[in-house]
Amino acid sequence: MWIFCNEILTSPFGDQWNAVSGTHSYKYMPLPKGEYLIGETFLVNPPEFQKGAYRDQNGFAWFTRLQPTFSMPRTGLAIHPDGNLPGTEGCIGLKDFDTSRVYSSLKNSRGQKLLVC
Amino acid sequence: MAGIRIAALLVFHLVSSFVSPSYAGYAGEQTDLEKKFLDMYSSTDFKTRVTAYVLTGDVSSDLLKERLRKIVIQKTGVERTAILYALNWRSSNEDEQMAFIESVPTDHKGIKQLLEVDSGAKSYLKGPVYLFIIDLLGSYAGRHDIALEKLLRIYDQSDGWMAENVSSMIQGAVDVRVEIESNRLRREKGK
Repeated sequence: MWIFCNEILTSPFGDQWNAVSGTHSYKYMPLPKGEYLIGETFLVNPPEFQKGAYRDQNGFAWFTRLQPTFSMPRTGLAIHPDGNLPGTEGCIGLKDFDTSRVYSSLKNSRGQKLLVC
Repeated sequence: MAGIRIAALLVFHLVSSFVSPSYAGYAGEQTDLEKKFLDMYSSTDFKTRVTAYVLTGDVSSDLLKERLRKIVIQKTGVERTAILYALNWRSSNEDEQMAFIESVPTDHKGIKQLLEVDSGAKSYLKGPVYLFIIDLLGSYAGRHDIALEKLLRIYDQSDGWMAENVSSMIQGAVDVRVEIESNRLRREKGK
């Protein structure tokens, strides 16, 4: 199981990456606590799309859908590099300069669970 | 974002293959693609209709555009907005541009429905992290106050990646406004 806790995303193999959630604006709180299913992971082309909102500092842009396993009013939640302005609108935003390794791990994790604490 | 738009168009073709076309009754020479789109416009399925309207923006066809100009008169809500999006995509007709901006909803229910259609929850538009109709509104927001105001209302009701996109569009609109104002000041200084 993947875990997102205390601004750290941890893979089932124990790999860890720094990440944030919901610090972009006054509007939204971080990703609600609970269990999510990891969905499709895909590249965002061109990486500059929406002022690089989904691009890491190395210029690599991608996106992983998240599906909550519980009922909640939030929509459009995902994992992606924390591009553009620091912070996200509730998504998990990865802070590393190069996020290609976490991208590869998530691409192979479709259907697995993510626990947000 | 041409790749994403083409991908969405391909998805649409898959969807449309499930609908049996009735070609009888159409006047003049039509391509297979036009026939398929015309069929989708009269589908009883809301998702099929709005997808067809939006993707018409990428089809170079005067026949389809003319048909949409006739249909739009009878439509309200997000269907009207989707049609006006198609008529405005790659077009510079100011009347249609204003009609599109005016048609974008500002009420809670209307914005929710627009976000659902644009993100693929209530359409067959499956462009990853791509908002079609709202992106066009964003492209006008640098110069049109009403477009910017509507974009801000949509931002207030959007979440997750959709809010990220709309936030970036707002930044883009502000950048355009700053550039316009800077150019104006430079020109005034130069006089």
